Amino acid sequence: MSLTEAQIQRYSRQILLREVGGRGQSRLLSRPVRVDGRNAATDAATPYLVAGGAHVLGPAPDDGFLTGASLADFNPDAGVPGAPFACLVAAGAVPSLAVAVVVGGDGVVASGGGCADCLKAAADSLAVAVAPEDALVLGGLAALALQRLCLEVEPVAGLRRWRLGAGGIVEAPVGGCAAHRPPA
Amino acid sequence: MPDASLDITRELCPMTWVRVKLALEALGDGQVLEVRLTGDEPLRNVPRNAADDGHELLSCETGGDGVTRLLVRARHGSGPA
Repeated sequence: MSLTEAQIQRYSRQILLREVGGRGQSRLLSRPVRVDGRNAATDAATPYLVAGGAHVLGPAPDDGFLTGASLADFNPDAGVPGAPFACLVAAGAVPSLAVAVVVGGDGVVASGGGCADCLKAAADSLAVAVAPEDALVLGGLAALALQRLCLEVEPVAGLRRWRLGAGGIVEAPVGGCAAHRPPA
Repeated sequence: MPDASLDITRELCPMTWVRVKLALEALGDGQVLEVRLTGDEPLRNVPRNAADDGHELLSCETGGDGVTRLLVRARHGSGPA
């Protein structure tokens, strides 16, 4: 989809970014995002995704910015009919799409596609409960990871996992499902 | 002879570079964009940003009317931008 003049003005500061540009912004606008489940981190991630231009479907967080709104009312000009969803998933909910980011209390798992069982196994490794003080950083990371998948600046296939620890966020190994687990 | 022309003499930062970036994205690899600009900010930033994004600066000439004519060859590497 080509950008309208209003979209160019609205997203100008994202278009400036080397990894976004006009084509990348078009990708962000044309890839709808579905939110499955809800926790404090998905609540923190949702405004980032909305502000980035995505047409987001899911529960609107009570954050003062989106409170009382229907997410479908934001970016109504975004989304291409029939375009495949990307998915933001709260840990504990079962990821149902291959392009998904799952966020839990101790980290984030991002999948650009591939084995659904590997994604489920990685998602199951995340703690379900999210501490309030960690929600913003985990939600920001989840939103960024999902946007990078939509921009295709992350590998299209495969999993990545980040863990939140005392020293901040670090990338962590991903185990995979029984069929794809690397030999010990 | 440029393949496309863009006048950003009425634009303000950051739209100066946004317009040029979008115009360069719309061109094929190797095609040439002519940019007409005025003022210090775009004269400083547009050539630098174009080079940083991997495009090739061919010429930069300022006329007696104060309008600078920039010729940039679009170079597209990998990635969405």
